Amino acid sequence: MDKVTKVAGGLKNPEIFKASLNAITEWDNLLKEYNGKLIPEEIVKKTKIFQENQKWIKEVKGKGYDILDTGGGSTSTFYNMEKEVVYGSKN
Amino acid sequence: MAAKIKSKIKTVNRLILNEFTFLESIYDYKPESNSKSDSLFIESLEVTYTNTIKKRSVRISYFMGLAYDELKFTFNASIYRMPYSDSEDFFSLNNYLGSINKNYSTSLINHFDKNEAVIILRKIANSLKDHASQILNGEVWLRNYYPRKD
Repeated sequence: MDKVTKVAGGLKNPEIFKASLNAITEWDNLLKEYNGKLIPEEIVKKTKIFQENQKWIKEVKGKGYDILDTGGGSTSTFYNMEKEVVYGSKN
Repeated sequence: MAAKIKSKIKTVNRLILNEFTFLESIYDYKPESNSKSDSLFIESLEVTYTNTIKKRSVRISYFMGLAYDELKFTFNASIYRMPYSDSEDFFSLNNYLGSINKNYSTSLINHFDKNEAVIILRKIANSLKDHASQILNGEVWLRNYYPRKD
């Protein structure tokens, strides 16, 4: 997220994903529950932050925005979802 | 898990209100409790303390869930500044304590013990007093302590 914010800082009228308060609280709680262990993908996909992120990326894609790919981990459920929406594939 | 699990919401709500009275007496926050269950947690409770003048809210969370086949009763705390706009307005106590290597487990595993829950809640309350006093007072805001999604 830091990298995204940094890149967006150099752009004119950038749109970046903003998680709702309930979504970010839920995510913070989940991280605490798993306490450093990997959160299974099927659990991540049930979270509000994942669903909000998915809705957002579909919307910006649908509106024809230029989308800057700032990269991400290949095992990130979020990044893979974004790539599937943007490129039609997570690879 | 076949056995029906007894809800801890009422007990935990009482424990939280008891352990976080300092937010009311010292910082003049007002509590409000909300409980729910969803696909992520078997049950959860959020006691949100708000001070509209200081423009801060503190959320003390309790949630029961299954993580890697362990039944966990977990507690957590976060603060947000009002009005909330995005993650920069969110302060994760967990994230902050991790950054200074003072993190600790706040979960009870497979068995809920009231006394242990009190010990955990007291630790969280002390962490807020020790590390977030100025935030609670509305004097400062610490950025970049939100949970990152990747």
